[in-house]
Amino acid sequence: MAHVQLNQVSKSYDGQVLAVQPLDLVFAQGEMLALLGPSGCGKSSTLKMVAGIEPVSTGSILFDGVDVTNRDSAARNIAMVFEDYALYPHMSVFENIAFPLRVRRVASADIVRKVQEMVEMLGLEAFQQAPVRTLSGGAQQRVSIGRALVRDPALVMFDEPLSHLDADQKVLLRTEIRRLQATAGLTSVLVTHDQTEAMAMADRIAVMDHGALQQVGSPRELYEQPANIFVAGFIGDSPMNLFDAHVDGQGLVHLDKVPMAGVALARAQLFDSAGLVLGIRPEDIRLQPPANEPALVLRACVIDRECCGDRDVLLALAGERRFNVEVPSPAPLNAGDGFDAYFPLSRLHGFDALTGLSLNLERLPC
Amino acid sequence: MLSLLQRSPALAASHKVAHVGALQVERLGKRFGKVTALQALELSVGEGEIVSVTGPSGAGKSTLARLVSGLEAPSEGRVLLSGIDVSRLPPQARRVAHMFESYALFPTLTVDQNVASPLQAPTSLGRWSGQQQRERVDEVLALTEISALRDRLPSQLSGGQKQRVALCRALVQDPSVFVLDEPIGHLDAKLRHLLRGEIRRRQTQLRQGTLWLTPDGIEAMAVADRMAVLIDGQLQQIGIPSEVFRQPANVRVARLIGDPAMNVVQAVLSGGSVPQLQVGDAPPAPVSSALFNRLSPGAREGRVLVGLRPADLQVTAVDCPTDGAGADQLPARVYAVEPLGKQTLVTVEVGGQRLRTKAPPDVSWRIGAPVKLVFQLAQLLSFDPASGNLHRTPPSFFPSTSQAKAST
Repeated sequence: MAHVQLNQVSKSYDGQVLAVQPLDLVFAQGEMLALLGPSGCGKSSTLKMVAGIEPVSTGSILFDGVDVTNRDSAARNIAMVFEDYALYPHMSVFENIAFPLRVRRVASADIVRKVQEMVEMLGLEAFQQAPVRTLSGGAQQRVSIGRALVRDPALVMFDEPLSHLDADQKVLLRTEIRRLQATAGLTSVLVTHDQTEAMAMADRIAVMDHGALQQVGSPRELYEQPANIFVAGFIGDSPMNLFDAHVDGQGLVHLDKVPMAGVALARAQLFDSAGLVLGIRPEDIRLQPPANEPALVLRACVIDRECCGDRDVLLALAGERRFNVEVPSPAPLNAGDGFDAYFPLSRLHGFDALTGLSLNLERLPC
Repeated sequence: MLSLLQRSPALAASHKVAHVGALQVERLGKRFGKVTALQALELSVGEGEIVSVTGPSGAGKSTLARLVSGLEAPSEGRVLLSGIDVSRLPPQARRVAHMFESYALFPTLTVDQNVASPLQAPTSLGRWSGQQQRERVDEVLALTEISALRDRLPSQLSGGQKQRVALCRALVQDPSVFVLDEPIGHLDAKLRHLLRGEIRRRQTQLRQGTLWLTPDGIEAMAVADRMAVLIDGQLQQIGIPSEVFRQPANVRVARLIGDPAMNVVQAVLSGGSVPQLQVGDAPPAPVSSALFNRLSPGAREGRVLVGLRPADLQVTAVDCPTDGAGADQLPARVYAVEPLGKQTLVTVEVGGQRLRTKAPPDVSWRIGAPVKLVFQLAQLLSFDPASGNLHRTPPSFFPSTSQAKAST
């Protein structure tokens, strides 16, 4: 398994618009790195450049310190797992997995042994001789993973591997890929638009938007310390509440012109210029005053309530501003109820409204 | 009791179904050759009510949508709109606003023209003035946040934007019932959350009913007054979302609803002075007699099906003392750990069966680590091993929250 390094890699298709802005990124040996972002963010272009399917416009790509920028795909020893499986439908599970070995003229005893290993690792024993078209989507994707791994690639690339699966299959395979990757120590790249998949499977996540890298970090880092408003809003389910805010001369916080009670902040230390955006995750808002820390208080009204199983999401309104509160089910409030929403200071995120960058409020001064 | 009813939208919703609903389907069935796509379905949607239908792909959701809007003729049964049998009427005579999963936009019309098209159909001729049409179009474009795209052609839109245009083209109408087939599935998480709330608020203020079809069980719960679970063309359960979540009618529903869905464990129960539970090929583990009685009301030994929700399971170190009251435990091994931000999903293996548990965000386990799986008796469900149907809990067994409230 390889250690992969991208140095100032960029991609432009027409010589003008940068689909990928100069990008520095490392895929450490044995880790899964997710490239996460909405459609058009540059994640697929990055994948194609690393895989050698498309040439880079600028920059270099190193595999274990060796420059492979001008080598084709085959010479990089990369395995791909595709969104739509791309299996040979008329062939059996066994033959699909054996295919890359047969092409390389591996001795048949070795083929049988290696395919057996894959089949067992992926729990496909029962279907070995079945034509793949008779399998469920989840099982087909496992076959395609087996086909990718059987030839000991330097790097495995998962391109939206769960997109075509039913929800229950998706959750199952997500866990399987995570475990397989971690136990086998595969250097791998996951390309996905789905933040839940990236969080669940990856060791580190590179969030991209408009061709530019927004933040790289572990799932927890992205979740707890988003570097900017884009990452804050993109990571998390349900999404973070973001409010336009300002701190007045007395240090009181106003959200969209609605004053908040609770504590006064030391304004000078916060943010002095035009714009402040305050963020708080729906599950971090409390319906009771937190016991051991100061909190801002927002008077609000429940306008609707969504049942999400073991959690309820309260859709709330403060002034004209909508926000969400997530609490364990059953929520003690219903549509029409007024309530005080407590924002514990340690759970608040602050962003510069102009640049969108995090103000890194470790703890709000008060 | 009355005040409880007024304060609980869930309870109120179950009383909202009007005598003549927006939509009723009676013993509705559809066969394609030898394949039964939908079987004897009974379903009603009241005025201002949202009924969601969820199920895996191939469950019959889109077939139901097409039967209601008249694009397919039923093999048996009837479709009634506002109490009138429309089973033999063509689609244009039915007043159903159908949003297609495949969008089906007019490629040569702009977003604006696509959305306005049903208002200008021959069957709507003279119904709305030009001004009214514009107002209706503006309202739904604003609701779905695509006003800025109104002059674009479908080819200039992303998948998520096309989906919102298709949604608008249904919402703009004034039908007897809205049929929304996967209306927000292709949107990003942020927009999906926002829109499901906004659309729900809009639709529940209308006279019409809404049938909302989605493979996403959480979305089905979140948007609906009542939800129906459809699997292999058969209705498995219909009820208010929290009830379907808490008391799934059978194992198939249990395995479908929740994020992640309930764990259903196959085990063998044996009695004696110390009852034992054997899960898969694991050695039998001692369990409380309370658990034995709970799983086997008739004190029968043998196969049982135990339902355990991920949020109700706790994974602890082997040497961690367990709070004895009402708790049981099984030895397990950590299979996988998935950090999801607000929580960590820990999958453990017991006797070859995998169970998902929800743990706090800072929890981390080594794969393969031996652990204890701790669960509370009051939170588990028991299913009949032969039929897969839920054993209804005797009301006296444990006080549920609602009963506790009602008695105070």
